[in-house]
Amino acid sequence: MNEGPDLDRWLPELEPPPGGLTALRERLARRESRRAVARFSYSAAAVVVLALVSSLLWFAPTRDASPLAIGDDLIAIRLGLLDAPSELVSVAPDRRHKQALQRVATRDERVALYLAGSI
Amino acid sequence: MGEWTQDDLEALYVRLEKPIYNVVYRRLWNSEEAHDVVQEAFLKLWSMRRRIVPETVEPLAYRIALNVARSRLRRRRVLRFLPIEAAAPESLRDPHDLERHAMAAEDRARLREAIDTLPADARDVLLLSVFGKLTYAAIARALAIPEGTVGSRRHRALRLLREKLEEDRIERRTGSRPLAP
Repeated sequence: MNEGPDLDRWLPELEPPPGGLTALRERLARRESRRAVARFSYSAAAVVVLALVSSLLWFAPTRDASPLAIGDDLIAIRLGLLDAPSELVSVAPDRRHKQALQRVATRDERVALYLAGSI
Repeated sequence: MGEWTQDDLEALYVRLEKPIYNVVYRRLWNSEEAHDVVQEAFLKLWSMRRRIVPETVEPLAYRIALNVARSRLRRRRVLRFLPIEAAAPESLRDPHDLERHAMAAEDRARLREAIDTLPADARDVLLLSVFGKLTYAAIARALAIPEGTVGSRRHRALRLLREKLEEDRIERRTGSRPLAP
């Protein structure tokens, strides 16, 4: 089948519009600058969120009397490394024969801790 | 695999702009849109640059361009239901149609119809082989088809195109369609 002349006639090679390479370069540059702006925006947003979380943690009320600290105190008292508090705590009359209570000092005045033991 | 640079992309663009444009133009029949599709294909290629294998980049470029052209055609089918002005802005109506100077309007319309009525798989093979001058292996890679079917599809496309144009020629000469065999 002699297809050459027919194909040349049916499917002539056309020239694309001029300036293709320049247009491609411009589109690439535009895309890169858009991506740079997007990258900067994401980074800025991440920094803002981080700053917000940090400031919330910074200004949150601190609690010195953590359970762990109180536990440490109790262990230290048990081991004799720390003096037991001297302050006596009143106990209901009907229970006095069964328990003695002592208040343990903690670093947080809002926390009341008592040592209890059978008499 | 070495890093693919913008120089590599531009060198490939210079080499493939015209053949890919010609392939895409025969799918869209619109010079400006075909040109835009070629550009978009190369932008997509650039975004895939870290995965590019130089030996297969050429069929890949054709494949991306054909995919972009297909998606434009799908969009056009949706827009067909809108008024013509909305579907095809003035700027997209063949401002640089060089073929206009090469063929009479009627011949162009018949040729376009003949190419459009080819089965899509055969038409793509024919266009890639004519304009891309790709080997059968490269065409197979570009269209994701077995290499063994490239030759038969090309042959079928040519036969159908020839029959359709011959039919049109007889119809124009006699004023009636030839009888079906």
